[in-house]
Amino acid sequence: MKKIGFVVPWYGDSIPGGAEMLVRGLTDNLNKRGISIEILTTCVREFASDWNVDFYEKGETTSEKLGVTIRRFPVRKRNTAKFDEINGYLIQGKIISPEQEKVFLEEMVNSSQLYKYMEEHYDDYSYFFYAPYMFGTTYYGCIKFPEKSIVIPCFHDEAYFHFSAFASCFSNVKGLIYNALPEYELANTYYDLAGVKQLVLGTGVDISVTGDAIRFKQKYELEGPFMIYAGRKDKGKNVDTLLKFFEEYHARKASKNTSSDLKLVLIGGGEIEIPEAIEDKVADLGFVPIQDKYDAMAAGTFLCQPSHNESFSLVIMESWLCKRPVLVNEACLVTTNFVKESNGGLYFNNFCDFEGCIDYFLANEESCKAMASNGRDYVIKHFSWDAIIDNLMEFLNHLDDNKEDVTHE
Amino acid sequence: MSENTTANDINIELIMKQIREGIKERGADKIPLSFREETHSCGATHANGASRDFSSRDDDISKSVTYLGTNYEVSAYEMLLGNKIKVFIKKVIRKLAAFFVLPIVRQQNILNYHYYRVAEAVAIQRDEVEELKKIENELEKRVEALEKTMSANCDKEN
Repeated sequence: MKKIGFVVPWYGDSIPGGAEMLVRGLTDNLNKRGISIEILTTCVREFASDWNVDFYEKGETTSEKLGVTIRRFPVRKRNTAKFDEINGYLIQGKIISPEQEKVFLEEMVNSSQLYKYMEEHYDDYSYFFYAPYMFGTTYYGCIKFPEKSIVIPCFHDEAYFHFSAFASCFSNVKGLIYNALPEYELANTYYDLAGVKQLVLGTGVDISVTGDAIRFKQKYELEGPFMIYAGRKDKGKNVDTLLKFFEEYHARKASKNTSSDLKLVLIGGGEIEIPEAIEDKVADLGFVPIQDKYDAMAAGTFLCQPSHNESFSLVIMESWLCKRPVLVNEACLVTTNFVKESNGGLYFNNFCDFEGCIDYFLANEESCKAMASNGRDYVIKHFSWDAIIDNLMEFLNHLDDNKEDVTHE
Repeated sequence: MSENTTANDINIELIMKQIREGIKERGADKIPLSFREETHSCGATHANGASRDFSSRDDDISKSVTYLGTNYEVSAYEMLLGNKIKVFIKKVIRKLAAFFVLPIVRQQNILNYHYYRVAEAVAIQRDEVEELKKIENELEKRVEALEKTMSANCDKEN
């Protein structure tokens, strides 16, 4: 096999984000198996930074963490206002026209020099891997080089997924690799993928993760029970609903004179307004060192993942490894499927469920421990990096076979 | 759950069933919320406790109920668009106004929720009246048919 190029909109050895961590894990573990890997990316710093700014210098460097080559290319200047206007519609769940899709994709993060490099060095690479699906680097890479394109899309059932441009683009690629079975089902419901090789792989997880509850409580001086949310704090992750529910939870307890001392700890980037009524009950820690995140997970009563659009959710796996159960949104097929398969937590579909599940967790510590233990076993069995890389190599070795079967995890 | 629960004892679907039964028994699902609740499983927005879907109907009442069901919540937190300075100024203004705007919004949402439930009840009763009218027409027809048969029988006997 020749080189594999991982084409991503930005790359950093320690930038946050599920897809970013997945790419780091895959490149690292494939590299350790002796596969020649390169990262082809823009000079943009990360998701949350200005996509018009070349933060890194262009050219070739080596990742200090992974030891693989990184080739960076300047980003093409975008019309941010045009993009933001259309993105505003999409965030509100509105349908946009094919012309607006085109503008959205053109004004996304893109690099003409990156595509030019890929064209000129096409024969040096066996495959180009892309992640996730909605960025310009993925879309234009797949359009230009479909026969070498393998996409780790991280699909969610959201407005972007329903672009007609994506439906035609992804029906022509060489392979699609999914994080979970519901994601595969979603893709095959809306897209014609008859000619595409597909694999439900999952994401590798560092199963050596542990957390120290006492260390966290001492360092952050937090007393009493708390639930934890770890991830980007924005509407897309449904954190606004979590805050609304948490406010209502306390309002109802207060109205029944059964006030609760449950707190909410938020970890991660992004901005969200904390309702005034619960300001004293929410600790927004922002970004913290990764070990502190694990310590927080171990110290919390449970982790809540309110998002209804997750394609994997590493944080629920980490919570289980830190021996705490999880509460997920039933509208998210992926996380609910993980929880049901593992018996590792509970799920809510409305406020009353949310309130009922919290009360259950607070009143049943032994069950919490048992759920967490189930979740931990589930992660170790299905998502260790060894198992993931074995499955991926098997998939790559049979990509050119004319098998009709879809490979599953 | 006992103090000695083991991992094998856990059946989360059973636990969820118990939690949901408890919610119904306590009537917790009947208490109105201070905000509109959205469910995402079917892609549509329904109000808390909404029991009927009127969205496929074409009459004015159904259209109004459907509109109310998806729009009765007034949000104080619309997305702020514009450049960074504009967004910052808007945020400051919103923060300054929050202490009197938010309680009003909360009250308005509770009020709107009750308007919605009344409208839904009117639409349901309208359906029931229409159903009763159909039954009445059916019975009238049967009575007419019986009367005809009876009078025909009487004529024969005479």
